[in-house]
Amino acid sequence: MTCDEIDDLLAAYALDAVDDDERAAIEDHLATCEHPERHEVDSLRAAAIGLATLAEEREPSVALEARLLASVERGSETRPRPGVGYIAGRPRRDLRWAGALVAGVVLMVAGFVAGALLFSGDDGSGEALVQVVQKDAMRMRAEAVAGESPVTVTLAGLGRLPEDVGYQVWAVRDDGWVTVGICNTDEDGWWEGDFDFALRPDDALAITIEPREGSPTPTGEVVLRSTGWERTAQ
Amino acid sequence: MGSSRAAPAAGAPATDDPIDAPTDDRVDERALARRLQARDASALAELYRAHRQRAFGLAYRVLGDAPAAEDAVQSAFLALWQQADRIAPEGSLGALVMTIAHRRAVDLARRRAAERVHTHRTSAAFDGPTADVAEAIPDEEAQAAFARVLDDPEGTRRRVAAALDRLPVEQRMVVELAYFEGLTHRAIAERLGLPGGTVKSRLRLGLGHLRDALDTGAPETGAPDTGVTRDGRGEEERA
Repeated sequence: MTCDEIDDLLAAYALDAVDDDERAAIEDHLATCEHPERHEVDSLRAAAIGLATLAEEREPSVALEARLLASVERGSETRPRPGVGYIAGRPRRDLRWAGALVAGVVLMVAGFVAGALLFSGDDGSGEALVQVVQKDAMRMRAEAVAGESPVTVTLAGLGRLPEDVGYQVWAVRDDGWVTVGICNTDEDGWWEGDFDFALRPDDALAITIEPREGSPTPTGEVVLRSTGWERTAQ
Repeated sequence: MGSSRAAPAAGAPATDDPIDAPTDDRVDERALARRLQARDASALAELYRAHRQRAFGLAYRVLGDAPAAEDAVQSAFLALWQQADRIAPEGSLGALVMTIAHRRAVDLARRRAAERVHTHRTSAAFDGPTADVAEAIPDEEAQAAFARVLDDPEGTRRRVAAALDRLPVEQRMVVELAYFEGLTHRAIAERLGLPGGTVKSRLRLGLGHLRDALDTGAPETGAPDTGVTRDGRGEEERA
């Protein structure tokens, strides 16, 4: 790539709008020069960071910090393993550390729903529970301590419903479905909050669309449903 | 389904998040950088808590869904951790986080688009370039500009929004397609049916205007001409 060609791409580079080969060529060039290209790129990149301020700040799930720190603890073993949920669990003390060792990565398998309950311990009581259910772009993550309220639920990719209906979250048990709570997503398909409900270690989760006040039994479309829990020893 | 009106939706969004240390806290970034270089994992946690919302918001804007955005953010912070020895302590860690988070989000968006036929979420979120920390560190003259942009994010946001509004729509469009949709200049040309040179020219002009609006540092003598003057006039677009 000639110097003129590189100069021509500096703005695209600053916006991350170049392909991998171009990026490598530009960075090779920048590594060997001081001025003026370096300063040009830096000033354009600072402007690009200005663009970043237009993105609305959002709160990632509580589990992200835990996954990040768990990845650091695992050192080089940072790559998620497709189709596997795993945890090195311990009773959580608070939400911040609920998943500190709950490095759960649950991926969609065979194009439908994969779910996992990630916990450790023999009876499950008092253990950190994390469940992730995903179908296409729709995703639910639930975190709780077994047998204790609340359940923290994050929904993503579920379209905002009309005002008179909501997404009702259910604990699926052998003796029937029990209401966990009901909510609605925002215009971006996002919701996160706590439900006053104590999950059992053997509860599966499901979401149906119900009247906003909730239904005693599921009547609407099942939007997401876990396939069951997966317990993985560390 | 029932028909009666509902009480407010159960489960109001959590407000008592124990990890929610104020994100606007001024952290001593120089000390933080040194702690990162000393392999102090608590420094990474501090850095994450200070910038997670902004980084995640940006990744979400690019990727459009939370799981992928979390992958990109996690990957960005891991890159910072793994390449901490390349961090310039005098630099703006916030700017570094945002630069790498955006790059990882864009990489993931392109990889996901290429693999869209597959039903699984990408497992390659950690496969990004390994040298992006060093490449993202600006030279000393630009450090102040980087810090200034994020020191007053609200002011920056207002100035950028106003500058974008003033851009010719064709420039604004290519800048937004590049930055927020993660398209390469070639992909933009293909999508808009434009010659490649026109897209590169519009990117150069548009970003140059934003640079002027933010005063992040116009090129000095001898710098490549971006075609943008201080009065906001640009060169004729090349076909």
